[in-house]
Amino acid sequence: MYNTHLLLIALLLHRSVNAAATATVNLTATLTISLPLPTGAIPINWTLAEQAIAFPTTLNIQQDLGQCTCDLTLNSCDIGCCCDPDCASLYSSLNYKCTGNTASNDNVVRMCSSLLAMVNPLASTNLVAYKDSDSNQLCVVINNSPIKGFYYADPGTFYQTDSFFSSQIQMNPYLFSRQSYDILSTLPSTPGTVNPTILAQPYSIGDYLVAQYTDIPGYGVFSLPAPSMSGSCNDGSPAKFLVPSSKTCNRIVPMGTAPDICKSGTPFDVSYYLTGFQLVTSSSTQMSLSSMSCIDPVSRTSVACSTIVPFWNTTAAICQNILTSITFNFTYAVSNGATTIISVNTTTRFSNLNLPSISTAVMQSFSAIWTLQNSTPQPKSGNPGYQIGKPILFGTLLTQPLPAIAYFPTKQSTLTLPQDIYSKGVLGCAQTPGERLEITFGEDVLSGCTLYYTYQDLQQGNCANVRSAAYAAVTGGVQGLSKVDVINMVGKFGNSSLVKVSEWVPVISSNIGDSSQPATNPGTCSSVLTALDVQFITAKLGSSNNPQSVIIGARIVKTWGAFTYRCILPNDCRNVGGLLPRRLQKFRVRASVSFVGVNGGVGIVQPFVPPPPRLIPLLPDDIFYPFSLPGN
Amino acid sequence: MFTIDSLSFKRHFRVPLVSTAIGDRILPFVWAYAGHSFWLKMNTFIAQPAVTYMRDSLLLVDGVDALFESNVMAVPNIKVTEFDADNDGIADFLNFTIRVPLNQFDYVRRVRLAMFLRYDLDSVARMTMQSAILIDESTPSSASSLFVNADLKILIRTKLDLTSPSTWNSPRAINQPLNIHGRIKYAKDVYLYRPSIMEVLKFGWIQYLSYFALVYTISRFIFTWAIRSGVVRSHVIVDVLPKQDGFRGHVF
Repeated sequence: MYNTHLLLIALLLHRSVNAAATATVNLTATLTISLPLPTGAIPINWTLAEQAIAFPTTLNIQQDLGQCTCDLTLNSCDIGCCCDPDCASLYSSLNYKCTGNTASNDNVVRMCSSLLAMVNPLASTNLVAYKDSDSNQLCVVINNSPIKGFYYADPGTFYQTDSFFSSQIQMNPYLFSRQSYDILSTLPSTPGTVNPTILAQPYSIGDYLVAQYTDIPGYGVFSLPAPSMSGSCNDGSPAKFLVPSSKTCNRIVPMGTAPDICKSGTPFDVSYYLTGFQLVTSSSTQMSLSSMSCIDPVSRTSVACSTIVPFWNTTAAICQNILTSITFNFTYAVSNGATTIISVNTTTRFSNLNLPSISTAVMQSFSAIWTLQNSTPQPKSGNPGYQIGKPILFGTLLTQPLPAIAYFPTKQSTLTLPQDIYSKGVLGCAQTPGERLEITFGEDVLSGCTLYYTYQDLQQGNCANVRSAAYAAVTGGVQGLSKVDVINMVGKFGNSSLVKVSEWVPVISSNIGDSSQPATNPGTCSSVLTALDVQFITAKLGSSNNPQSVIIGARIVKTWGAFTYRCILPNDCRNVGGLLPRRLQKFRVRASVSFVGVNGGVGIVQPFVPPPPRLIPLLPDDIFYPFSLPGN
Repeated sequence: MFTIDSLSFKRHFRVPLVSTAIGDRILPFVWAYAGHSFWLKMNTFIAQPAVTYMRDSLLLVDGVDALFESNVMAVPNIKVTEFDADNDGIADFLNFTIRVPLNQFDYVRRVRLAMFLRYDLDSVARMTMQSAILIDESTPSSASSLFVNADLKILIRTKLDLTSPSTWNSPRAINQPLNIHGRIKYAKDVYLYRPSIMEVLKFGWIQYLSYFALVYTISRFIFTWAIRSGVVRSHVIVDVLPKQDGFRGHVF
């Protein structure tokens, strides 16, 4: 099976090389031409595309492909990932010792000791692999499995022997006193104190960011609200240095009249998170965030954040400019062996909401993103195999000047699915890509959204509007230009290269139903795109100890149907009080994502034929129980 | 003349058949049987079922009046992932997230969810069935999300059951949908089954044999002593000729 696959890849590459050989008449001249890429695609380095054709790479699937599965961002360091080549300079500047040489996993706790003599591995017996490279001590990992449901505390990496084990087995008396509680915390907040000791040294990974307050001179943590136990926002939650974060919490609306709640200085005001303090970037430098600029929700222009304040619109009885999302984009630089925060900017989102008089809550999200200065980080969905929950790579095949893929990296630019959202008092189809549903690996999805039409809307003359609205609702774009019409390739791996066409698989596109737009009865609008089904065939590739998930086939099925106005309730079809022209009925469009796994490796999906019964039965795996057979 | 070779004539002590049978053949059985569980009527095995979510579910969300006023709710979306954590080809747990968009004034107090499963067992006992996970949770306050974390357990001849510690979160933000998050672990389970005739005989034979060895050794010793010493009456038959190999009555 594997050999067949290798051969296929080799054949594909061979064909690409032949095609390129005839096309590369004046390659250097051709490469200088910048072809227009589809909207939202990221630029292609044509020089690399040329090299990819000149030096095709073959996949050696006998080896462990997932050597560094934690490196999930190209051109940017994934904090805590020791094998990420982008991290080397950062770790050395922070004097950070990264432990472990493979995938970083929060669930795995590693302990090394010279008292550990041997391991009893299930598969291989290569002891060197279990030895710590620095101390030559044997290491074990404690797998804190959330599946199994039990946890161990992290003993840290421990190289000394006797004292550690004696501390593990000693009997400790139970005391109420806890020294760690009584010693003053590392962030003194006494007014007027000099720089606290923590500021004497530069930030390290995971350190709390410090805010210096001005009205009462003192220090506190830089607030990045996070949900408390009840889900409500806890403003005391700190942002951590170089640790990306994204949290959603409920902001409880206090009792009171709406105009009192809907004003500046409240947690619904963006200035609440930006003014009255300075971000301490090092022991001697601070940065003010009060003059930051935000995009005005109405005019869509960049204005000072302090000018966007919540206010009560009496006529509409809504609170305008409620902050629902803020993202702090921290830019850092590594220079002269030090890592410092260079700049901060924010991305904000505002909503207009009807604040009821009863106590309720508003959902807010708070994020922190860390970017190295002058780098263009490119998130991957796996290295190399897709990780569950990461976005699928969609792209378009380009043939000129060289075979390459125009890849749509962001949720704004790629294929998304419809979903209903509550907006402006109505539950309806999401209008912007940000509100739509992302297609992620391994997650089967059923979704859809609701459109509202009157009988008049479904007349023959208005049908074109219905068709385009339904098309936009399902695909998020205009027919012919929507991403579903542009996309024809999907990444085989989570890190498929834009310049290696062999790392992408074509998307089969098909239609069910009639899209020819025939003339229909009044009240019925036919040839409406009513459903979109995205289907993937996946397989596991590589070493059986560390298999990598790949996509080996993809299909997009568009279903065309009709919207028909029906007499469901009496008032749907009789004009009582002249309300019939405004009588709306609900119409549903649907979308789904399915992942079908191919067992037994990579190959063409074949109809299932059960294997013939064996004449000699296989040795049961428990035949020498409690001893296990090698390889079990 | 010299005695160049000698052969012994055997004496055979004969007693009625029934007395010896009771002594060393029947007694082990009686002894083993008296200790109960001689015939294995029920046995257990441990296996992990191959469970597949059939992508089919029923969701009923109850609330107070405001919910019903909104008549038909919006389209919920459901995300499911079946994880095979140990790469053995059998899914180990199911993660699902159901997002129900709600109007600002909708209140959710109760969630009832049925998720249909195909349940295959392919080891000692073979079985395929379709069943459903049933989740029925309610809360006194308006909820924003429900978390369910459960093990799938089989209760033979009744239904699949969930050991489900669930958590509600409230209140719901006005711009927040209802979210139902769940993790159903397809745990290894203990199954009762009726053993086959070969298994029953094997277990019986092992018990009989272990008693027989003990009884036979002791009863032989007692019989020999009792008969030879004449405590028990027996017929004694002495061989007319030695019953040794190759012995002939005539020398030519």
